[in-house]
Amino acid sequence: MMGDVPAPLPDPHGEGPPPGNPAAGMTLDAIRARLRERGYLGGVAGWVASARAGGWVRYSAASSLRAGAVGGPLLAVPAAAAIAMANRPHLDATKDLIVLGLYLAIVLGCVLAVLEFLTDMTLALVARSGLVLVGRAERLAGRAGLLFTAATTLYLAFLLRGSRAGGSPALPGSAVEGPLAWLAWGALLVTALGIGHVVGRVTRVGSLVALLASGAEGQTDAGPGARRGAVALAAGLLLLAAAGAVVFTGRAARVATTPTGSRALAKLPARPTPGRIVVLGVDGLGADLLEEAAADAARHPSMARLQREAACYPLVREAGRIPPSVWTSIATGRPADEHGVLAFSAERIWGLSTPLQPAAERGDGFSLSPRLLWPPMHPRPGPVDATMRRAPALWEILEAGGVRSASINWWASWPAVEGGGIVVSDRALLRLLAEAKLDRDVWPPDLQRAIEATFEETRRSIASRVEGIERSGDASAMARRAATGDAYHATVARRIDQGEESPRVMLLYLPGLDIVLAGPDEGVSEGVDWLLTHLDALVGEFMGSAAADDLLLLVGDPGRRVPGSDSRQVEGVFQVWSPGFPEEGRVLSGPGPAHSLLDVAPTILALAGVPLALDLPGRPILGFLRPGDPAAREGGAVASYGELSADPGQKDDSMDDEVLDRLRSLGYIR
Amino acid sequence: MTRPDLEAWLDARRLEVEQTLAKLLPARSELALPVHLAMEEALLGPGKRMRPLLCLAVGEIYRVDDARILPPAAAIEMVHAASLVLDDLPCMDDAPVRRGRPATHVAHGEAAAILAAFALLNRAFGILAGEGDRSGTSERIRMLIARGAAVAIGTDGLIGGQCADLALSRPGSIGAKDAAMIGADLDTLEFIHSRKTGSLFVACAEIGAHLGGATADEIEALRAYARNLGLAFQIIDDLIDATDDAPAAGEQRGSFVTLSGVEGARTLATELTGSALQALVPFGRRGDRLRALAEHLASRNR
Repeated sequence: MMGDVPAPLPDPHGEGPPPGNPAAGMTLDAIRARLRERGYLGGVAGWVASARAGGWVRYSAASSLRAGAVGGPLLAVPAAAAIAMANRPHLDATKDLIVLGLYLAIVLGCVLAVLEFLTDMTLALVARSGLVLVGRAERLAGRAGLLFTAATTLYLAFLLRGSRAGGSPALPGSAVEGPLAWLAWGALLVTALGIGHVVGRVTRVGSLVALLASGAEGQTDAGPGARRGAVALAAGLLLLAAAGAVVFTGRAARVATTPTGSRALAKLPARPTPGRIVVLGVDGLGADLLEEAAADAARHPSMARLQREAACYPLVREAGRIPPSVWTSIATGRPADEHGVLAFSAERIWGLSTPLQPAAERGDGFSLSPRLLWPPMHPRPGPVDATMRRAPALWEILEAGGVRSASINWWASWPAVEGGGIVVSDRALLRLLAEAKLDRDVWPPDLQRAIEATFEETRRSIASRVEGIERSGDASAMARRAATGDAYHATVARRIDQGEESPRVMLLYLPGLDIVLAGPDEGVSEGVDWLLTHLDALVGEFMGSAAADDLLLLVGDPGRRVPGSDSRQVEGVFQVWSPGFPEEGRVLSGPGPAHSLLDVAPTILALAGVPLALDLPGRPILGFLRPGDPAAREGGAVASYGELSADPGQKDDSMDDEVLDRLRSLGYIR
Repeated sequence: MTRPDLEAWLDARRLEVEQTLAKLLPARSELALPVHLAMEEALLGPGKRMRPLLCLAVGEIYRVDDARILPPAAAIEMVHAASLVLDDLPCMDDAPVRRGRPATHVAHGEAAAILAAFALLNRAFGILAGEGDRSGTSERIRMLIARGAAVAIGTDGLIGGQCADLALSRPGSIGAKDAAMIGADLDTLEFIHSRKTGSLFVACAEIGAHLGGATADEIEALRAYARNLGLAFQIIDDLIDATDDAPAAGEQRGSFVTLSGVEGARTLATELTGSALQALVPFGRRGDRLRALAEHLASRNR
């Protein structure tokens, strides 16, 4: 039958209020209830029927698609900006932000679409109990959306302001002025409004639950008063004004730091300084361990001598950092958030030029898991490498200053390319162990043959030298591997040092102690003993072969023994020794003042005569020099060494899995 | 859809409706001229044309051709005009003025007014039956629409509502027992409003839905919209009457304002409008015109 009218009027002669006072005792709630019984205000069979039928599903599906298509991109904008800020400076290229935004738009769009669909279906079910409640939930959710709009507006405003002031990643449109700035501001507002709308849509169920929880079904609406609308409008205008003020009182970008786009630095006017510099970077060697080893002069005579004759400085550094980050800070003189090497491994996502480094390895707070970002892509993990380093390392700066250097086994030094002197990258040994051909593991390339030959020659002798470490158990195996690695790299360093073109600065990184100390307890003492003995021998060799002007710099860091959650300033050690120190009276009496590990790189550069960059946060440690010492003379200075581009270029990642396995076997990655 | 957008749409479509009404009136015959004149005045006088506009708005959901929907929409307006003529008669509300002009029976006499009302009703059913219509609407759809209109006019519709209204507002006018026990309680008021206003609103929604090939669920949703909107429309009328200086019929017979107070009536109207809007959810953006129309009706003050 057409015209599904409410039930007929009850018999007017039967029960009912008496004439003349018909409404006595009838509250608004009672009226509502009565109307509901009669098919109004929620007892609407038709709409519920729609909810049950395909028409409703079709509507929900279309609505979901719209929510996903519109909401995904809108939410992706602030999400990409937030992720970029959390990963600063690792991820701040505009192109990467756009690509990241696209990925996020897809992922968030799917999430929103599903949420919207579920919300619609839930509301359809709830509608059986009362459309008014559903309607009120929608209105409440709409208000929640408006609140979210306000919050998003302010957040984006602060973000834009920060970006314009140069303190944030380069958000698209953030560095513009004049009309374009207003355009960016308009885009921001549209984004915020859209986000608020989307949030309003997907929070309807939450609003409904809130209404039910508050027992609000029986309450009346205040009605759409014009006064409330005016108040809301005024509040909105005030908010926009505040947000606008936030944006436009922010100063425009002051410093334009343009990446060089190349890993080669501009030439630096270095001045000549006498002697060679040997830098031994020993991971895991904290001040306590060194003092302990030096105390046993019978077993560690060289370290005992160092302790007596060298200038010793405690090094402080932030707890929780991991070896790649710490040693790249030492090599670059920059903090981790500037040089960008934060983790052991990173995952590359198609389209992003910068790989994302997992937060679990970084220990420095929020980061986005690439797998969460784009599950279908199965991002390929790889170890950190030189392409992720944004700041030039010592060997690159020294080369720019015309000082020949050799760096061996330093973190994030692969691929070895021109512009860094002699480089034996951190993957060379791994490739040799895997019996693979060296590929950009060594620079210059003609050194490859010599390195391979050295490996073959030393392999057997190294194996015999580490036999002292107990052979059973995983921990012992790890200790042997660590010792083998250190011994091999030390041998390589000696061979290079004895080569035809001996470098003026030798930088050798030895991770063995840290590997053993951070590994399982079993076999630690044997491993540590062996490594300290080996280190002592190595130090002795360098001390024995040093000329009067040569310098031996021992840099020790406590490594991963420092718990990540401990924010204490922890101590490493920096020792400087020269054969001439005792005679020339340049030794400090007792320990010197504490320094930052960021002071190591400036110290090496100053000692090598390379001008220091004014934007280096650290200062050289030169207190051990006499006033007339040539190395103590005021060197030149440059504004900056510049940044390195993060473009990985052509990369052979065939060894990535093997390197990762190796890092796992050494306990770096779990 | 913004308010100016809707108002422009209302103006344009109202003009089309009025042109259609004029076109669909029967040709004058000299001997029945008084009836023709009464019909023309009753039908073509000033009016909001909300019912045909509601028809058209529903039709827009399904993109129904104007050629198909304008005649039945006009037919509903004829039914509405006829009902007003009859309501104003001395034996009923005895209203001398309608929309600021002399009521039909005052201007043309009671006999002509009664005949004009019946002529309008007959003309409406003729149109609904497809008289002169070559738009291709199927007989089945015509039958559904005509049946719906009959229900909306009968004792479950306008006639039933007018009967209860008379019993309430003019005791003794419709039967010996009428006013003795009937009171302006909620049931009575709802009965009157749902029949006198809601039934035609529902019929209008059904016309658009049937012509558009709506599913049964969609028709139910549109009925829910029209039913809630119809009651909200009437409560808003009561509110307007309550704030007018001149006494109105609603004040004589009681209204939702007397039942629940001004604020209560306003709240009920808001909630009913909200429910009407809620019923449009399955239509998504296609229901925007109907949403705007509901909001327009909810915000009117005259």
